Amino acid sequence: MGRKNAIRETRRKFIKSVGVGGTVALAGCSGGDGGDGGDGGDGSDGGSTGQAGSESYEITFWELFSGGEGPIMESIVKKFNEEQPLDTSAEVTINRQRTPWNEYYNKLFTALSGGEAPDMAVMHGAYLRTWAGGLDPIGEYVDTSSFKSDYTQSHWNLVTVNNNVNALPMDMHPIGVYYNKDLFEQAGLDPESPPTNWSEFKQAGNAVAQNTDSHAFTQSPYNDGFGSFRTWSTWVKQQGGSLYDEEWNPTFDNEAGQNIAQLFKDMTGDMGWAPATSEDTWGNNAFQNGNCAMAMNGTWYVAALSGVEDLNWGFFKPTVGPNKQQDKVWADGHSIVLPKKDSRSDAKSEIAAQVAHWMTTQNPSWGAEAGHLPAANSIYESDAFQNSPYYDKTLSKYVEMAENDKYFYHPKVPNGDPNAQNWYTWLVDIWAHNSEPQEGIQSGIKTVSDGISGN
Amino acid sequence: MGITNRIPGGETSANSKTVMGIRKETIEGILWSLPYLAIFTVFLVWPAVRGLYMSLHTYPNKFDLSQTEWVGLQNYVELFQDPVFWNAMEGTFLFVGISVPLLVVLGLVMALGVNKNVAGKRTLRAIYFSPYVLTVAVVTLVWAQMYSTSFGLVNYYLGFIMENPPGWLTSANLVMPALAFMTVWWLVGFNFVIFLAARQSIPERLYEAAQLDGAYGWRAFKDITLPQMRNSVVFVVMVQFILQFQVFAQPYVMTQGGPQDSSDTLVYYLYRSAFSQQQFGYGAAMGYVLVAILIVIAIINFKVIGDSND
Repeated sequence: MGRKNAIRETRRKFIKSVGVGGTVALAGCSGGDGGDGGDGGDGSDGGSTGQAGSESYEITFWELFSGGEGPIMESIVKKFNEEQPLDTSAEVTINRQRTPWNEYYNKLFTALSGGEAPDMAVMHGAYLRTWAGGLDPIGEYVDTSSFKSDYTQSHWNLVTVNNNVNALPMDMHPIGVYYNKDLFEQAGLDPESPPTNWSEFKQAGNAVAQNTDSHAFTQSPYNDGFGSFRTWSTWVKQQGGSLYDEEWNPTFDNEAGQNIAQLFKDMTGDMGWAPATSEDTWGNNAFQNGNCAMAMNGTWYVAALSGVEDLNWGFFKPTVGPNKQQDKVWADGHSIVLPKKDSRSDAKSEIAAQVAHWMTTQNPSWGAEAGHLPAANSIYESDAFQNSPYYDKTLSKYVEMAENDKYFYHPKVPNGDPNAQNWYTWLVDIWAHNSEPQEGIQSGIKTVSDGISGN
Repeated sequence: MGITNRIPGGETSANSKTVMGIRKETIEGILWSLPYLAIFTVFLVWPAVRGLYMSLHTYPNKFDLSQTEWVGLQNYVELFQDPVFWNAMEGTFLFVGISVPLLVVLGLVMALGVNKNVAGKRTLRAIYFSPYVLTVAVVTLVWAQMYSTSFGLVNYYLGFIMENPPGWLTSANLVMPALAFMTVWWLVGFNFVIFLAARQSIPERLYEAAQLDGAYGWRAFKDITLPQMRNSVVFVVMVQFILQFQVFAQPYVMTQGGPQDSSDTLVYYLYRSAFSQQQFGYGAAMGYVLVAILIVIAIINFKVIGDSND
């Protein structure tokens, strides 16, 4: 172990001195003979094979993209396998495996704890603290400090945990409000001047509720706990409320938390903006069928909406919460990590890190077509990104919020599953009038603190 | 072979040869059983033993399961103090309490009905059995649409006879009955087939003899049909208890345990604990509690309905 660490230390120094090309060359050199601390690829995990100078590596890569994002990721992997863009003589192929996102982390965790993790995996920023013990720090294999300038500061912050960077950022996917321009017009509103603050937002919602047969707003098109949390936490933060204290005890039963919980109840009650239901499909169906005027959701919603004919939709920033003290908007993002795997050689890990760097910096299509905020600085200037069909509608506004540092990240809790639906279903219960706001928040505090403490 | 063995001194006959003092027949029997025993051991015995071990340990490093810490019965103690566990237990018992009696009684009624000379009984047989061939994913996804408050088929028809049809999956009181009813629709065909086969194997002469003594209808059912079908009833009841206590996919796909945790179940909580919260020891302990419940139910089942050797 000591020898391995010493070798890594030497390698890091070497990497810093020779840079990226040297790293890959080094990876190629050490991969062939497996003489690297005794843990070289043995072929059984698709490690390095062949003779020196003609090594080949198969990098297993797990991801969770579906809907509009899936085919884009598929094309990126295909491009890599065909073009072989890394500066190395070794042949590197990516073997991609997709798992639906609601199963993804459970499967990844099981594979990891059983010692069968993939070489490379997509991971949300929110998981980087709770999973830190299961990740190979990427800085062990590549000089992350030289990569830092490749990414925007906010993306770099997203993957930084306790001043350590164990992942390379891929994108950021904050939320915003998607609205139906035709319904705005029907309600007597100017469809080209969407709300910019609470009073305009409230006026718009009331106008739709009163002047049309349609619903005014859905807090999450899928009426799910996690989606509700994105909206609720955005407005809680805008009121200056906190979500956790420094010890990771949940604190969202504060005044702001209660105010927004009450607002949820009112929206489906006295305000008449939406039905008080926990049915999971009503919001998405209503918005896509033109029966709901506004839906709060993430960047990824563009892929779904672009396929809906006759839906004349627009977008505005979600900085419209009541009693706003600051502009804050929920965001999380995808990153690429190297899960721990004893059977993977250091040389292969270095190759995987280079693949992750290529994937996160050389693919404008990820932002342009999937609608996410790309992590790499260079992509913002690219034609592909600027000519994206979503650029004017959503991306430019998301970019503006990033430039003005409006985002806060989905809390990177130290334990448990921060994206678990059951951590946040109490919000759906408040929305659906199954629970009173106070009762709901208390049950949420208990569920989340139990989840974090492992009880 | 049997005759040969009955010949005095048959142990010296060709079919009773011994290999190293063991009868050839015994060796053959073991060899034939080996493939199943191997699978049984790898996929059932070993996981069960491992599960018991896990339930008595915690895993300080969730990413390295080779590091364990002996905690004795601590996981079980915590489990019995955990309100989420008791809520899941309540949900499971409610689900089982609705689904199992319906599955057994309806299956029996359908089998006895089809056994009569009704017109189209072949078609009925196919119709009754057909939902059983669907996978749980298909059933849950289809029924999630059917139960939808706003556009579901169920409420569409109910709308003709009542003002505001209820939200089946969105009401804390109705969600478990709704999931149980869907499960009955899905699985009753299996019980129907078992009961029909059992009913058809009852010799008609028993009924004819009973009729001569004046026993018809209910009396014939009680004194001939039920006792003759006892084995299949015991089998169906036991299998359904085992299956329904493990209810998982229905809440997982359709409700995520909501609203207000009213459709949470033991196996769904076990799954969340082990794979979402990464507490394998706690999840394993829950699995063993479930096994204990099923053992108790099996004992009660055999005591109440009895076996055919009474």
